[in-house]
Amino acid sequence: MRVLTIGDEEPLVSYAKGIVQELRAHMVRAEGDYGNDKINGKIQQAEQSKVHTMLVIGSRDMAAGAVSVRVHGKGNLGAKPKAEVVAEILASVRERRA
Amino acid sequence: MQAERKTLDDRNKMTDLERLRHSCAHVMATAILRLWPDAQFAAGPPVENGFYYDVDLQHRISPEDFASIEAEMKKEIKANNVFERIVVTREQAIKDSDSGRLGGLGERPGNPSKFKLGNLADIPEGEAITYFKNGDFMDLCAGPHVMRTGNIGAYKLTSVASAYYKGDEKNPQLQRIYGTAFKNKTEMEAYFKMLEEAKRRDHRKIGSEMGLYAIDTEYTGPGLPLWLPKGGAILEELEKLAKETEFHAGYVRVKTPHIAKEKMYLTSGHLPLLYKDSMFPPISLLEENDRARGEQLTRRKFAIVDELVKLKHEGESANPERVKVLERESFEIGLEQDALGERYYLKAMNCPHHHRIFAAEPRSYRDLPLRLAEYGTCYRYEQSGELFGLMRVRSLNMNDAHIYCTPEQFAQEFNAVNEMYLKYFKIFGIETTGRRLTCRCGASSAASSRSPPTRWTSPSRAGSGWCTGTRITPTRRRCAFTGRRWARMRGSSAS
Ligand SMILES: [Zn+2]
Ligand SMILES: [Zn+2]
Repeated sequence: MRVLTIGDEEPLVSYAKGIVQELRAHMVRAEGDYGNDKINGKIQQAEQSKVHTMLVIGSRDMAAGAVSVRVHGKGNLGAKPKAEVVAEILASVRERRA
Repeated sequence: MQAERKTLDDRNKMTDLERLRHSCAHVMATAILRLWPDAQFAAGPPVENGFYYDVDLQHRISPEDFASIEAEMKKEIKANNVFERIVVTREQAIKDSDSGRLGGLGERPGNPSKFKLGNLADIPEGEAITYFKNGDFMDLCAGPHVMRTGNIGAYKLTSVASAYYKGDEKNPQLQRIYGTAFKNKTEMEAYFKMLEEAKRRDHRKIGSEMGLYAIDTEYTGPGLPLWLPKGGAILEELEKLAKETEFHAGYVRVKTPHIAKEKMYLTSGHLPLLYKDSMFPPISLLEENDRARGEQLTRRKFAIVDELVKLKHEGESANPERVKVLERESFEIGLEQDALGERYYLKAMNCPHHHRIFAAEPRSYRDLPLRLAEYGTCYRYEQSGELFGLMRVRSLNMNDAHIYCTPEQFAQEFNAVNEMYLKYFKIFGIETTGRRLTCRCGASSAASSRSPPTRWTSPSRAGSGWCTGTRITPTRRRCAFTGRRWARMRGSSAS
């Protein structure tokens, strides 16, 4: 899975890196794309690499403690609280959900 | 490569589709002759997914010619000519070859049917010599064919290759024109769609596009896949799944080295013969001066094992003196080999290593069943021509297990292994799986499998009676890899 930032500014990048760290601490193969490419390009690239779950984060998400979730083959599932999303990811890994 | 001439028995066994496809080869030859009357034909058998005909012709046929050939074929099929069988004498056939009539639309003075003459020589005395004639085209052929050219519902030329006459490189090189044919258009379309699908799903294509694995022929070696991080992630998840499943089923995990001394494989019987060609040549730790003597000893030892096996096969009691002499010599060779230094082999299987684990500690009945499991990396010296992506490789990771149990425990253990397979198949959506149980003694029932093990001689198709309700009926169509059926599925062997 991949965490994508909208833009490459602080403190957004640090916020995103924190989420990646948290997931990796739970043995989730998370990686980050923190570059300043356009977000649509970043999403497209992740789609092409068949990344299962994308967490897209902008400054507004950060301010609300939220992330936007995109799942391969399902598209945009909308913004949700960060803690809820992390818990959901851990559960789906544990249960080997598709 | 053209194999031996088909026997009459082979011909009788040809399926309807093979007959149709072979008949289409006649039709294709007819069409090629309409365009290039000088063409000389050699052999035109059905093959796995179609047919070919080998032809000698000045013009080099290319896929650009396919449309015009197919157009001529269409006319011949539309004419709905009968495949007429004509029995002739050898003299007549030689005459018709000399005149260029065989494999032609008419006589061709100065252009004898040289390949037909050669084919004629392969027909044994006493076997009928037959022609098959459709319209003007008359060919030396034993058949069988469909009734009429019109029975060929759909056809397509697919490719051109080159081949030597009768597969012998000393013979002239011919153009091999491949095509395929079906009863009807629907079936042909389904076939080509399946091919497209197979291409799309080709694991080699996906593997490189997704960066899953690489095969570095130059530096690592052919057939030795390198797993890239993304492929590694897949492997890791598979292993995790299997580890959990096996843990749940009461397996214990072990770990063994990638190499072992020659003695182990001589004991297990993989050497000197059974696996010799599948294993990499040994790593010799002998000093330079001792190499020749070492070779000599090994060769002698192999010869002794061969002879012992033969003697045991004949019944040991027939020549007990000889057996004793050989065993004595073998023992002495062993001592000398130990003194010289050792030869090691890369493992091609994990079984002997696991058996050494079993032997490593004193075991009691209370320890049974003992289920050892390992992801063992094995090495097999596959012919370089047979290597294919990840399907045929020289190094592979085997999710291997060996179960040590009492005869009374066998049925239950066997069923549990089966259940585990079915569980995996279900998870991965694998619908096609023929499984074969190989017994040491060719036994067909649980009772006889308890007789003392001899050697791995006759595999049997046993098992159905032992595990009623667990055997799945093999269906041919779908499997994880579209197209060819990959017959090799290795399972755990229960000892
Ligand atoms: Zn024929
Ligand atoms: Zn084994």
